[in-house]
Amino acid sequence: MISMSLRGVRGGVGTSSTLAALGHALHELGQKVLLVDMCPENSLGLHFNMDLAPREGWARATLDRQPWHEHAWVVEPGLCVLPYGQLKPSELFALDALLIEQPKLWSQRQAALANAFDWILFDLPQRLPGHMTNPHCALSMMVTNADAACHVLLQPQLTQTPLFLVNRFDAASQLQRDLLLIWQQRYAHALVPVNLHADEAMAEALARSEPAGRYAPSSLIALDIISLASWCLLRGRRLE
Amino acid sequence: MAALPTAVQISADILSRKERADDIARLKSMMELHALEYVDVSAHMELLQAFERWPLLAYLEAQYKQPPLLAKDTEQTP
Repeated sequence: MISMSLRGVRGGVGTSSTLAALGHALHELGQKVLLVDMCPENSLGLHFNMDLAPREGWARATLDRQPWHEHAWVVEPGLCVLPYGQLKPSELFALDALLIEQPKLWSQRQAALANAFDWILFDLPQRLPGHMTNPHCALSMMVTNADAACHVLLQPQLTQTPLFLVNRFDAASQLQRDLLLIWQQRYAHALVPVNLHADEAMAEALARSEPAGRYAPSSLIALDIISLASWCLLRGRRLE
Repeated sequence: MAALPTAVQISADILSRKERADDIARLKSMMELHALEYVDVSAHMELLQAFERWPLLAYLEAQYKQPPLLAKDTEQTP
């Protein structure tokens, strides 16, 4: 079993959509996949036609001292989503403190899930240190867009997460081509060698409550995601 | 399956994956010119043009090239 996390270098770069599409692609490639929503927005399930912000989830269960694993949704056999659950703002910080206090909480859970899944994918939030650091992942990627704001934020964050993935790449943009050139020169070792192209199908997929690969299997973004999933499989094999 | 005959055989194990994908690294290895200082001028020019086009990117590049202040302090202590 390989644990992997995705976190946006900032909000709005398409992290959850990428995670949902990647989970779906890994499943299409024959892997058993669990997607874990670590974000209090509690909306990862929308990519799989689940309810908006379900009350039950691992975070709710952890605070209520209930079994956390009973709230997963089975999208299809071998593809599951574990929602976050609803928390009040005050509870959110209590849970983050708990996750800092018990740094092995998620590693124990990951070990317990190791026989049931080939991949566990964590959708990490922006500014909750306990949530961000608790799952121990063999593969951790930051998601960026090729824009100046991401470029500013990238350098300091690479010390925490040494791999990054470019999403919404538009080869027609001079600025994006220039930024990619700079990143290839400066961070060659950290740049995931698959760029996800800007594609309307990715935005439309969420509006249809589906991951991109199911909504538009022959779209550019679906093919990019298959390439990314294949790269993850190769990389994962080397880690195991 | 058999290996295709080539004039100079390069073992994939000797070169790292990055070097295998890099034509210049392969050439240097084949010709045993390990000390050859090769500068990809066109890539370098493109990079300079990028910094000319976008002043913020040039500014950040200059910032990153400066050693961090903390590291300076530790260097001064014996």
